[in-house]
Amino acid sequence: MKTRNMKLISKGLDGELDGKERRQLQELLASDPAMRKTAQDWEKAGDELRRSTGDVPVPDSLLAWHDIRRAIRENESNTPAKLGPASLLRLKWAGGIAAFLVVGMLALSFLHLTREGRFLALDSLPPPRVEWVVAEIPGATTMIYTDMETDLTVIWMDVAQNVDPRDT
Amino acid sequence: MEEIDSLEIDRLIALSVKGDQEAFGNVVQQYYNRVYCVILRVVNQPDDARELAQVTWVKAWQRLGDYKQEARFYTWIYRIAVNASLDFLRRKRRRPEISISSDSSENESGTINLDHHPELADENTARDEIHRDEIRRTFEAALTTLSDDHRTALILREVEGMSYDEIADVMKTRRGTVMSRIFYARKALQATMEKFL
Repeated sequence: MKTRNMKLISKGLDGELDGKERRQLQELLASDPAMRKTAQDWEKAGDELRRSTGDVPVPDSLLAWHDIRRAIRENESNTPAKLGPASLLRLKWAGGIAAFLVVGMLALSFLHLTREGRFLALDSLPPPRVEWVVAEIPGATTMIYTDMETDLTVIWMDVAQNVDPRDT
Repeated sequence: MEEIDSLEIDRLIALSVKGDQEAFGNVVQQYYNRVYCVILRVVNQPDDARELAQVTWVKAWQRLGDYKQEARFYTWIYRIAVNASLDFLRRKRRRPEISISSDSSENESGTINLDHHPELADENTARDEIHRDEIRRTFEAALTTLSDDHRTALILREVEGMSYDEIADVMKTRRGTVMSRIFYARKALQATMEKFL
């Protein structure tokens, strides 16, 4: 028996067939005894399941409710008060606003610290000044001066030829 | 408890959502047996089922704020019950050892156990009863061989009469998966129960 046809029986027993499938199943059941047997077996199994469930002793629902109510009360006394949906919504908004303010303040601080893409801290450092220069190169002439136009300190060394700088 | 109509149930549920515990108590008593039976069928142990039924209703009370009135209440409560049961079984990670039993010794309906008092019944009745008992035991055993998901889908369909869409909603799965689970559950049961069907 094809699995597809068996699935059709299952759907048929569950009342989930469309018109075309229902006609198809009716034809199959009429022409195929094995299909009919399967349908009957599954129907009996369903009956058995319902019967066995019906046989089961069920606790008294009123007594069960008393136990449930006690459990609810114990639960409520052991846990902190639960926030209702409205309180949760308010809490979410407050959290969002607080997060926005923190991010905004951080962004403003960052902008204040920077200028033209560079940190203000680096900009505000005093320019390096040359206090003294050691230039003990034999035969070399050393000149140190401050260029007025650029305000840079220039170190000028005129090294005599035929002198190996590694000798220093 | 006396059956009440769906309008009254809706009213009780609306009151419960607002925190009326007495109204919730009436809702519990209306649905308790059905919910308990489904849980029992899934977990296969009366003591576990009783405990899980309690857990289900306590959770329901705590989550009433999430319940949307346009949804069917029984689908909503079954979802909680089935999830609690399947979670419980997953945690246990073992198959049930004892079948549910409607062993005659536990029967509270007052019927006489023929195994214990065969002389009180005529021979044919006794034989029928023994045969029925054998079928029942074999069927219970066959049910325990199904996977939790397959058994649950079949129970929701056959015992609760739920549609594929409702079962899919309860089990948080697709309609096609539900159809497939029920189909394979039936095939497996048929194979085990062949000589009785």
